[in-house]
Amino acid sequence: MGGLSDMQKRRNWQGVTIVALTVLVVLAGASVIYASGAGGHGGSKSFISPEKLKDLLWRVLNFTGLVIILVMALKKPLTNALHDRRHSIVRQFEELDIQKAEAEKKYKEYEAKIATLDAEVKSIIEAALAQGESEKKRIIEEANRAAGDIKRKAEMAVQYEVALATRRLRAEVADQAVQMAEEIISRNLLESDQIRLVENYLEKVGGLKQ
Amino acid sequence: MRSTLIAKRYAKALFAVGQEENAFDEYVKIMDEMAKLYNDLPEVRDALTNFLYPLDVRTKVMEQLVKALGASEIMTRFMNLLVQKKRADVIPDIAVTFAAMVDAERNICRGTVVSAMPLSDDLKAKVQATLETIIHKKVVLTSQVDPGIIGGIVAKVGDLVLDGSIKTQLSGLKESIKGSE
Repeated sequence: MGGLSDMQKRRNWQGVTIVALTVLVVLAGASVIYASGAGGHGGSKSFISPEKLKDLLWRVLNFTGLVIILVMALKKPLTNALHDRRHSIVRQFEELDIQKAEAEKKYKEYEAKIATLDAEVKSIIEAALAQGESEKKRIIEEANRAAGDIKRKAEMAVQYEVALATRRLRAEVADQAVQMAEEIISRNLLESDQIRLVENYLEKVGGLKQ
Repeated sequence: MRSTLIAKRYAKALFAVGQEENAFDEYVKIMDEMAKLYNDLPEVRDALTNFLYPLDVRTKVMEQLVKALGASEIMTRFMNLLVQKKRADVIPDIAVTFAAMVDAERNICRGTVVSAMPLSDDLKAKVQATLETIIHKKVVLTSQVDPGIIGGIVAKVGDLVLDGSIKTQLSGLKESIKGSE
């Protein structure tokens, strides 16, 4: 706030200086006009006439009065405008300070978050790895179970096929054996054998039934 | 079914007459021969059962047939009665039923014996004696030859079947080989 009062004083001085310079310029102009009037008309009439000087002074006073009136009339609105402007700038500064503080706060929060981010990432990675490990274990167990099932089924299929082949082979062997036996018996069976066969059978049946 | 019932009725009547006359053998013989004629010759069947022929013509055909077979008077009248009553078509059934009734009266069972080669009379008598021992009835056997049984015999009497053929024994052996684990 000390800075602001310095600025105000400097401006007040600038206003006084401008008024003084204006008066000096007017007076210098009047002197020049007076001097040129004396040189142009040769010796006898080197000064301006008192009417003209009076007129000049009147004009200067008139102008000065105008300036004073203008200064007095415009001083308050200008001052208010400048004052409002100053307040708005002050408010802007304050808002900016608040924003800056908030930004710093957020910056610190983010900084803290970034600091914990590594740990969070690490824990996520660890969780993902653990989940992956358990999934891997489950998949391996399922695969082992499926492999066991397939193996059991394959063994059963093999056993079934072996049993089937054995049965077929046995049936084929039996057919062939019986066919060969029939041929051999038919070829070699004599009439005496036929009679003995019948007699033996009758003996057996008669013995059983008696 | 109906013809069987009718045949049984006529057979019973014939059986009663045969018992009185003591002529079962003759009646069985004539009935069997008539049944054979009826079954084997379509002309005889037609002549006895076709209603397009007048009844007296059908009766005359029957008279000639039984005369040719040398039937007695009672048997001739029985056959004529069948024609007149339009029952000539049941002659084969009457023959079968009557024979069964006579066999039952005489305690006889008829059967067949199948062998791979013809059986001698001696062997056939042994088979018959064995069967009679088993069923306690007189057995009358008909012999058949079937080389397919290879050896031994297959005897059938009524519901009894004695299978001593080599074919059957080999079949049993085959099944036991197939079934053994």
